[in-house]
Amino acid sequence: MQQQMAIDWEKIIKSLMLLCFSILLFYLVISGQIQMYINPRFTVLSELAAVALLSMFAVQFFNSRNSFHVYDHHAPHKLVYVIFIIPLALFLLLPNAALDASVASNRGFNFNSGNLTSAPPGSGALARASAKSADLGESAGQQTDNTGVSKSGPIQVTADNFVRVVDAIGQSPEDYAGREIEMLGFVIRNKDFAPQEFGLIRFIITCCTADASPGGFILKSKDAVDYKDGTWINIRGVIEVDDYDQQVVPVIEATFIERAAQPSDPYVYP
Amino acid sequence: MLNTVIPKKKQPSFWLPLFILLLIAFLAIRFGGSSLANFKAVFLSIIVEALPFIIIGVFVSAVLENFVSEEVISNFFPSNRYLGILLACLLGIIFPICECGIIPVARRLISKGVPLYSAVAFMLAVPIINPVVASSTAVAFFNNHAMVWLRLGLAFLVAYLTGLLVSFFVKGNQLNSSVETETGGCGCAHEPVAVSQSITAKMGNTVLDASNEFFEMGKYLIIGAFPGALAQTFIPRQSLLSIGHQPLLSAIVMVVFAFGVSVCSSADAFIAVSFASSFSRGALLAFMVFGPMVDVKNTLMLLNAFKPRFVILLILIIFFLVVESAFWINVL
Repeated sequence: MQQQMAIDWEKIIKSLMLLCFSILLFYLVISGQIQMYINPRFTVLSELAAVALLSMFAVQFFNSRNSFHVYDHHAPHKLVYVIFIIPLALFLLLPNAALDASVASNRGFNFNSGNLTSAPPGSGALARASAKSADLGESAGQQTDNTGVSKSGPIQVTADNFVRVVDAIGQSPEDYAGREIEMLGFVIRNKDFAPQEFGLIRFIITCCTADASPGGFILKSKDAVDYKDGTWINIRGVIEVDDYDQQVVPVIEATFIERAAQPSDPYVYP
Repeated sequence: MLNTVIPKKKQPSFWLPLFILLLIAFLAIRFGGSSLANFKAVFLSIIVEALPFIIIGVFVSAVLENFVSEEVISNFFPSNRYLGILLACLLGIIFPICECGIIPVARRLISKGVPLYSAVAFMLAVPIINPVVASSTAVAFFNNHAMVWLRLGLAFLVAYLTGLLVSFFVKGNQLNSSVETETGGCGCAHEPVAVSQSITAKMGNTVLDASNEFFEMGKYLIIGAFPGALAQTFIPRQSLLSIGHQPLLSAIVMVVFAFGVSVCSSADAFIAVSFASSFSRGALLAFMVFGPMVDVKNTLMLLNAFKPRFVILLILIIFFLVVESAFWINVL
C-alpha cells in the first residue's frame, strides 16, 4: 500500500512538472517574451513543444498504466524532480532582462575585421543575413545597393536590416565613406579605446541567447564620456574610414546623439 | 518494454539541485544582479531552445519502441559491419535529429538489437551530417564553403572510425542498465510489447514512454545548461585568444570550449565563425565536430545510457581523432 502511495506522488509531481513547462512555453509565446530567449523564427517549435508537453501531461495524469513496474526497484529520489523546478524558479524569481554590456565585453570582439565580430577580413560573419535575401551571390563591396543599403540619403539602420547593413559597411568601408548614417544601439568599450571613442552595438541572435554576438560600429564623439556602457542611444553621424589594429574599419563621426529607451525587443536577428 | 531502458544506476540525489541553487546564490552576491540576469537569460535560452528538440528525440524513441519491431530495425541495418556503419553515418540525411535528442534514439536502437558499433556511429554522425547543420554551416561560412565540406567530412571520418574501433574492440551492448537480455533483467514481470495491443493503447504508451524518457533526459539538459551558461556569462573569450594559432593547442582549447558551452549543433557554426580571425581552421573544425558529439549535457546523458567505462573510452577516442585531424589540417 505504501508503495502505491509513493507511485501516486511520483505521478502527480511528474504531471505537475509537465503542465508547468507547457504553461511556461505557452506563456512565453503568447506574451512575446520568447524573443528574449530564442530567434522568433523558432517560435513554432516552442508552440509544438508546448502542445506535446500538454499531451504528455494529460496521458501521464489520466493514464491507467502506472509507472509501478518501472520505478519500484530503483526508484529515483523524489527530489530529483527539484532539478526541474530550477528553470521554473529562475524564470519566476529573477527579473527578466536582456543581455547587457558586460556580456558584450566578455565575448571579446576585435574591431579589426571591420565589424564587431572577429571574422577574417572579407569573410563577413554577419553577411549570413544576406543568405536569406536574394543578394547572397553578390560579393561584398561591388554593388552597395545589393545589400539593402539605400543608395542615396542617410543610411537608416533598423532592426530588420541591421545585420545586412552593418556587415556590408564593415566589409568595404571605403564604399560608404562620407555617407550619413542613423542607428540605434547601446554603448560598449574595449580597453584600448580612446576617451572619445566607444562601440555602438546590438546583440545578434542566431538560435538562442546563448549564441548572441554583438554587431555594430566604432563611434567617435567629443561627448563620448557622457555615455556609460550599456546606455541605449540614437545617433546620426558620418561614416569615415580609419585604422584600428592595423585594419581598415568604418568609424562613425557622430553629429548627433540622444539617449533612447531600450527597445522592447533589444536583439536583432539575421 | 520499458525495463529495457531504465537504468539501475544511482540517480543524482537531492544535493545536486541544492548545490546549484547555492551556487546561484553565491554568484548573485559575488557578481551582483545584472550578471545574474545575464546568467538567467542564457540558461533559460539554452533550455527553451533545446526543449523542442529533446521532445522530438524522446518521441522518436517512443514511437520506435511501440510501433517498430526488432526484426524491422535489425533487417534495416546490413549485417556487414563496414556497410552497417556506413549506413548509420549517413542516416542523418533523411533523419535529422540534433544532439539533444539523439541519445534516447541511439539507446533505443541498441535495445532493439542494432549492433553497438552502428548505433554509436549513428549517434555521432547524425547531429552533424544532416541538411539542417550543413545549411547553417554554409550560411555561417558563406564565402568559405570548404569549411562545410571539411566539417561534414571530418565528422564522417570520426564517426566511421569510432564505429569501426568499437566494432573490433568492444563487446556487448554497453547499455547501463538491465538491458543485458531481451527479456529484461530487472526481474519484474513484464509482458512483452503485445502486437495485439490496440492502436489507442499503443499511442497512450508512446506518450507515456516519451514522458518518462523526457524526465530522464531532461534533468541532464538542465544540469548541463548550467556550466554552459556559466561559461557564456563569466569567462571572457579574450582569454582564449592568445593560443589561437598554435596547431595542436588551439585545437585542444576549442575542443574543451565546445565541451563547456554546449551550444546546439545547428548554431555552433555561428560561434565558430566569430572566432575565425583568431583561431586556426583546424581548431574551428574541431569545435564544430567535437561539440555536437560530446559536450557537458550529452555526456551526462551518455553516462545515464551507457556504462561509465564505455563513455570514457568513447570520449577519448573522439577526442584523439578530432584533435589529431585538426592538427593535420592546421599543419598541411
